[in-house]
Amino acid sequence: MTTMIATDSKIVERCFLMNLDRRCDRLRDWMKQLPQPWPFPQPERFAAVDGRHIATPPQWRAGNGAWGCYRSHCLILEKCLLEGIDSYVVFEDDAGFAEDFQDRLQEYVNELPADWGLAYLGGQHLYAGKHPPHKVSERVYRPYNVNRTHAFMVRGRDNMKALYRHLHWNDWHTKHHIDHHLGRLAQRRYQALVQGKNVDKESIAVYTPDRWLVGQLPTKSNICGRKWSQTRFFNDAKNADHSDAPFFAVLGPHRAGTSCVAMVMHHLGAHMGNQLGGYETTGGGEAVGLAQLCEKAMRFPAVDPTMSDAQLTQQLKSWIVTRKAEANRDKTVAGAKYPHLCRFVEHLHAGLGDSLRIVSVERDIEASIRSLQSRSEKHRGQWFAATDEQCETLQRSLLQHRDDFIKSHPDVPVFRIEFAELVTYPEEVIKNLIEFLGIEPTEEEIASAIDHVNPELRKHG
Amino acid sequence: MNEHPRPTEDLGVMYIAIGGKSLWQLRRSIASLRHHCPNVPVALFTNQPAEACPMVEYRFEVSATGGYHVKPRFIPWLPFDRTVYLDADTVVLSPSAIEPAGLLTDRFGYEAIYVHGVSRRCDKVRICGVPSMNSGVVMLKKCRRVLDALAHWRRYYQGGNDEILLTKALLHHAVPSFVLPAEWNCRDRSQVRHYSTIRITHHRQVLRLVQPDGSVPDELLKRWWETGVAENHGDVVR
Repeated sequence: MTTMIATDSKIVERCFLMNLDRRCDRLRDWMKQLPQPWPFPQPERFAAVDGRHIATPPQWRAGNGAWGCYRSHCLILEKCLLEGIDSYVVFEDDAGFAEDFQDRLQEYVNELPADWGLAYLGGQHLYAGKHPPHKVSERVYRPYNVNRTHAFMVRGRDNMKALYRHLHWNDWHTKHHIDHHLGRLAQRRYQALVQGKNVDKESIAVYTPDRWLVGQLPTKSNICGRKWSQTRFFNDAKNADHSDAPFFAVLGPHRAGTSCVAMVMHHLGAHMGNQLGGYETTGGGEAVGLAQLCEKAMRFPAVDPTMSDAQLTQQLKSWIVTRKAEANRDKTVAGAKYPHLCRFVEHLHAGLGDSLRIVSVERDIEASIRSLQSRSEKHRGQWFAATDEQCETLQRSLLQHRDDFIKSHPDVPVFRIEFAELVTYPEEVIKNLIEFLGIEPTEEEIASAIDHVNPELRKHG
Repeated sequence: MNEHPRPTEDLGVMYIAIGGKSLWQLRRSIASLRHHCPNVPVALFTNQPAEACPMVEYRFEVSATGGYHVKPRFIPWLPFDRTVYLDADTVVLSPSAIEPAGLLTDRFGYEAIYVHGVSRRCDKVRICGVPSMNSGVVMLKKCRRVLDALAHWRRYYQGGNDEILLTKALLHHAVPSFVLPAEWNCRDRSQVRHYSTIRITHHRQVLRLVQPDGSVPDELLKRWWETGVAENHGDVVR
């Protein structure tokens, strides 16, 4: 088959395709599906090392297939170093291309920073919940750790040497494949940059596109033997922190009805956390992990956090991104409730940006203060009890922070729930809440949400 | 809620391993499964790094908040039409261990399968005197009734034992269920009349008998069943 080469094929000097001699089926299929015009130099088949036919060293615990893959990548790199090739792209023969590959590749390449040494075209972001890829420009991200090696570009003699040294260093972790080991290389640089430290002189600038350009074809893996039914594109950098998915923060002071609202959302199917606790016997709707985080940052009844703003923002974001990922798997939305979030709403906004949604629970502040004072009176000596003055100061502070934020951020969507209205007309309020959440609960879920609302809760007005 | 992802695999096995302590058990359990049922994909929910876990087809990273990492939470995430859940400390002893999943088809009409055992929770379900299931080995079909039952479970689960609420949820949603005899999840030697009938053991001692190829030699199993002694002088799954 003839491959049309695009006029400007200078993104890299050479293009390699790694293919086992016994997998001519893959070679044939791969060549057939190449996007036209092909933006790289004519692909050169590189006979991959077949792990089945060789012996692995005793310290290698990751299997023969993974050893063959590692050796093949090393040999390509070695060839380039020896032959004076200064840049190359390598594809494994299960690499499948995204639609608009050429256009998106060009945009990616145009925006790659001048220092790029390793640029992935396909892969999988690991630990993206805790360490989301950092946006460098519209199309380019700095990853924390990338898994898989089915498509990437390498450039620069010094970078190649650093890569070669890294791949032959004797600090491999047991059972690591080449992609795990390469992931550690990116990870070290990312961490140094985040922490404001000097980057290691042996490190390489690693980048990924906003959305993967190359996935893995549904062929049987040479390494683990599994076969998939469709080309797999893993989590994109653009949405590794699920910035496209909304997060619903239920905001209100203590004893304002936020627990009831959070539990209503839980019954409707919103993901409010994996383990819900709280003061209310019917369910407080407070995720245990978030409660711990909030109390660590601002111990009740304090009114200001003791943690730095950056640290608090990062910790809240990390917790929320993990919940968003779980909600995504559950095909629902994520939310959370804890009174401290009123104080931390600026931090939430800094971490979540446009994905923040607010469910503001409104109740007469005097009633909320009396209710917190009454709870404290009942539980003197407990960590969640405070003096009357502390209760009042805290409640007013939380309310003021929430209301000031809402006032100063008219672009952040807010759904206001009057607690009195919720307990009087739960059907109507819950219907509107469902619309705001953008979910489609079943009749059973709606019924159980309505059942949760208990009019007896309005003791303090 | 919205529809869950359409299954892309007909049948799969699911494990949960939270914390590193259960990984040695998981390795042996998966080795025994691969030995007897080599073509069945495995999904693993874990908070452990990939390199520490045995190779599986579907790996789901979950955070390490304790208590809530129970199977009903995760089953809807799976790409399987029919899911066999196995505890990480089970050992598969026969190719027919997961064959009852064939009942979870339109031909037979069942949507859930669980194992009858010596119930420690006879009076907890409070529906028609039904005892609580044991959920160490459960097979579920991904269908409307089962998903509704799991959603029900998720709404009301507040920690602790998940089996009672799962039994209740399946009953409330009238999920057609088949109950297997104790040898499908043998937790006590005295539950079965002969060791050769055991399909899956749920006994830590038997994990010690799993060989590098995932098999458990008949004579070692027999000895364990007769005497309670599980000694393996050969190599084992590391």
